[in-house]
Amino acid sequence: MIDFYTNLSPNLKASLIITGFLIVMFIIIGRKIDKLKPTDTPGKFLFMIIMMIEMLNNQIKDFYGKQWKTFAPLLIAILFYLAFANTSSLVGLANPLANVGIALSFSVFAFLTIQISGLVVRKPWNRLKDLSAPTPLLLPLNLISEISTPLAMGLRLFGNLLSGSVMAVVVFNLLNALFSGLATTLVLHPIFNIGFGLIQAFVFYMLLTIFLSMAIEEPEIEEAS
Amino acid sequence: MNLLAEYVFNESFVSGLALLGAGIAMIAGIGPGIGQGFAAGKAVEAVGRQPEALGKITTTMLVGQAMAETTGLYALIIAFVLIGQ
Repeated sequence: MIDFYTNLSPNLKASLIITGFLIVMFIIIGRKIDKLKPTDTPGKFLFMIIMMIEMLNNQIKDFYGKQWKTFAPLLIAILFYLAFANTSSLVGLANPLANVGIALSFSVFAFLTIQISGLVVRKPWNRLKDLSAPTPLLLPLNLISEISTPLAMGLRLFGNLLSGSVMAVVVFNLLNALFSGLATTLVLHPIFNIGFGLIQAFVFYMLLTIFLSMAIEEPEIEEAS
Repeated sequence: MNLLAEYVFNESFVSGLALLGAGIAMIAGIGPGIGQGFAAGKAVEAVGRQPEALGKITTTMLVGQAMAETTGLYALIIAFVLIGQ
């Protein structure tokens, strides 16, 4: 059993550690929030978490309307996992998304989410009518764009983080000859990990929100003017 | 003919041409450079017109830049695949 664990690639081990850490942390925070009475004032840390999730919920309500409670937990979970995974180089773990298998599995997940939600919320006949919206001649093009958009989302994550890892090694070896190690990491980590990593996590979350809301919205009735 | 098979069509020839292809693939870095610079210029102009909306303009600009970077990243992935050949 230990043999199986130590033969995995380092990205996968880091992914398992991050997932376990997030599960434990959110269970503890959820129980603490459950126990608050409405007349208590929460502490500083709980207050920050409540404000952040309130802000994300309001943003999701703008996009979805009535069904926001179905999709909000999924989207916020993806945002937190990606935010923690992209900054995991700061604590010494390998970056999980620099592995092509993990990054492409995100795109498979986005594709399945959009298709299954579209088929369940709007019944399959309506979904087919949505896909051939202006004219039925555009049906092959719409199908191709349904496949290629989640693929582009996953490849965007993979390319950004892989190039971040490679450039970090190159810049470190270059600057290490001139300055000391501390100065080089002060330059590398804010740019590559905190800058690009968090921006890409937010972009994936926004794109998934937008495409999912486009797949399940009712078409508006046009007013005859 | 034997000289050709021995000195030209062997494995280092294929590897050299793959590396040359990786270099040519990175010419695709011009596109995102121009596009993202243009978008940043428009964002700066919008901030100059209404300085209170700085937060929203910055967020929208960053999302737009991340989208425009995608084709440059495709070229980078192809270059990595070719280097490994």
